Amino acid sequence: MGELVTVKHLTFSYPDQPTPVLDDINLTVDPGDFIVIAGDTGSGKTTLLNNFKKELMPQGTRTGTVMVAGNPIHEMAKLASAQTIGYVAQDPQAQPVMATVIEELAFPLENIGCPSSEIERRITELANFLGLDQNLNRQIHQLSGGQLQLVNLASVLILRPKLILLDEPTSQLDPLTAQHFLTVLGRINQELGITIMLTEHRLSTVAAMANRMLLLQNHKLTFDGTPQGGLEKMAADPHLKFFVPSIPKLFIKNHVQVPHLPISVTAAQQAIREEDLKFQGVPGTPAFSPKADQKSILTVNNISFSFDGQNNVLQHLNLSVNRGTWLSIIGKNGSGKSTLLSLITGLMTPQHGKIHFDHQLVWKIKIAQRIRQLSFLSQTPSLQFTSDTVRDELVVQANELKLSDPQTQVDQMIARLHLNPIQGQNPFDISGGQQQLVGLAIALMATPDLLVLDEPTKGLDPYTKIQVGNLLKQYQQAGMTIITASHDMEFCAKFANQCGFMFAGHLNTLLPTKSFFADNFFFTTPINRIVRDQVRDALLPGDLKLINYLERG
Amino acid sequence: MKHTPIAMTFFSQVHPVALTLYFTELIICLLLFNHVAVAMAEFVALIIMGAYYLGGRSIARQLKYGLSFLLLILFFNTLLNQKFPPILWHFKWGILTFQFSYPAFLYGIAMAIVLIAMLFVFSVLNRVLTPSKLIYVFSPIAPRLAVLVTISFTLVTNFTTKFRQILRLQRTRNVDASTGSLKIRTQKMIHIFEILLQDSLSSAMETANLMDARGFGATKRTHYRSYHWQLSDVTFISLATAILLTGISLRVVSMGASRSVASFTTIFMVNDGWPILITVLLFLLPLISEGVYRLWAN
Repeated sequence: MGELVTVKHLTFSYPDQPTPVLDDINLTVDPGDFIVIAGDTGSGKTTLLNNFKKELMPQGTRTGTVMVAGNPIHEMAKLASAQTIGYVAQDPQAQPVMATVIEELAFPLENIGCPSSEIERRITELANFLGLDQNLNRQIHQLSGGQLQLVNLASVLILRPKLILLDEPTSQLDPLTAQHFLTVLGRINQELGITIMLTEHRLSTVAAMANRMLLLQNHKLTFDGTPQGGLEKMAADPHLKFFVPSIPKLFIKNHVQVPHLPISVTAAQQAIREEDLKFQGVPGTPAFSPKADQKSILTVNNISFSFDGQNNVLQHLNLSVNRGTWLSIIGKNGSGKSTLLSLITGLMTPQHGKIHFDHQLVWKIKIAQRIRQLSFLSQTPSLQFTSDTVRDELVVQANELKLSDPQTQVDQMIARLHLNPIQGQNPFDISGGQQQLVGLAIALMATPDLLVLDEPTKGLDPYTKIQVGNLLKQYQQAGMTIITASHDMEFCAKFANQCGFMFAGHLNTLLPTKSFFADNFFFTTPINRIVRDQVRDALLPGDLKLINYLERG
Repeated sequence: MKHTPIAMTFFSQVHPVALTLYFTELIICLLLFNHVAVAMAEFVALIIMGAYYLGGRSIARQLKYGLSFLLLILFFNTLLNQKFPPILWHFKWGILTFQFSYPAFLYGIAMAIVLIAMLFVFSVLNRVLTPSKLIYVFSPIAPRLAVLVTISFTLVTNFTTKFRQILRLQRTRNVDASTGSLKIRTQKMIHIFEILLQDSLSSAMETANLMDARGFGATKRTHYRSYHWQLSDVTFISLATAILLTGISLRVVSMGASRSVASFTTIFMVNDGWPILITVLLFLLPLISEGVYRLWAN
């Protein structure tokens, strides 16, 4: 069978950048492959993906060739390109242009001049295959992030492409929604034989589904083989080891030699059974937790909130947060987490109930005073930006906060969050992960008493995520109270002191992190899923010690 | 009373071309007559139609805005037209004189009602002629333009949502557009618009690329939904056209309209009866058709 994609000596540099982002890349893709492209932030993953689609090829200097279905990519007509290669972007909101789901699915078919009878047939077929048939007449803006990303995939799939490219498609979805999306992607690959290439930071699910992994390091393709082999190579790199999902990490860390490195929960459980591995909990360094006698800094009493006066997003919600704690709020997309954070920070006012911050009604505190005590990082940090450069963003905030010696404080914050390379760039033009760091830097400028972060790890690679977590932990140890809403179970498990589950407009009982995840069945970490029978409260590879394997080995 | 969903009405099931023609006829009809009684009759008929298709709450909200519009037009009309007798009230202060002319007042009312009625027509059009139907109607003439216009409707909704989010989130940067003097508030608002523009431009570029990636502009566009003319569509639009032609012939013999403001001396003028009957019939035609459609049910 002939190759679907052939890349020969592809080198690409962005304008005004001396170092190439892609350096002499050679690879082939066979029909039916499911390929995950892994690598550090800025290693060129997205640039490589975009070089496979003519309409998305970035501007710059390019040498070498990319052939798709036997045609040089730059000679491919738009019509052929649309019907051969599909593309799904990271941000679910970026793609849709029509008002309803059915119109969005029809849009690409109308573009290629499909007769109306065929459009109807294709939509019916695809909607039933993907389970979108009940949502066809829904308004696009009423869909959740997961549903929207599924519509985006469907809108590409309806053109029956040979290859689908996806750029971190699940980075903005909660774990269960992301799992559902990837399962659909697996079905498309297995049942329809469509070739999939995707970039991803969260490798835990996708590496188990893929048959190949490409690893980009320092702009070069350093590995092309099985995901297991790729993960073992990543584990040996001091930087990329953070990218290795916790299940393979547990086996690599304990030097367990198995024929196939387990990636999925099922494979890990099977390996544990077959090798008769026995684990015990590791006491380790106790996580920092605030003193038990600390008084509450924030109290939320019986609040209810509705956007449209028809349905309550929050209903009779109560919450008390002690000074110096780190609380993580977990829940699915659309459960009301972001609304709660906006209310806590005084950006919106509930129709009923009271929110007291430091004994004051939060929405009554003057804004200039409020931003000194209470900082907020939203899910979309770009909407909080106000200046033309990253540095100016921090300077403006320092001035608004009337900080003494603002320039020094700005320099320190830039160094702390490693923003040096981008400090002169426009904050609207940098990547999503970089925008997240800039947003966090702005929020930290005040060294507030209460820091509220909505999805703080969105768009961050695993290495940066750990650095950010450690930095926030330092602030917490210095007395800061932190509230986060997050989909990232492992981040919450590693750093938070308390967790609560948001559902149907209210927050379930807050529990210490370990008990929370040990009691959960679905919303918990992969490590907890595989060893909960042996060590009930183990959440991360570091919580476990292998006790019988070395003896037998 | 339980409100019939608009998708279940006869009106929303009429062929999109027939609907476009009907709304064009409504606008022509509004421009034909300018007598107060005729304008009022048109307006009342439109309120009844609007209440049925848009719901009473929506009509009440639009009436509230319409009232302020009416007062504004009345103010300027009576200010600019002071010479036509009878003069109801006279005011003199130094060199400034103001004469409250009754014909100017009536003319202002008629003009304001016609203008507000025009806005009502557009809001009903907006609900009945969905973007998808609009694309279908205009695709044969300018296919890409039709889809771009439709997309821009969607984008306006997104802009509004984003604008509200920015207003809220910029408070974390000590930018609160609801406080300060008028000058400061204006400056803050301009700043917020700049942010909206910058953010929207960067996301619009990505959206445009993704449209391209899905073949936009690759070849001549088609339309996913095909509409077929039914006997009811032909009957509906033929009746509407016949009524409009009758209206035009009434207008030719100077019924229901006057050329000079001076002629506006009474609310109801001689020969207004026929134009009232014709316009009410045209504006209520969808509701009459709904009745017939229901009677036809098995």
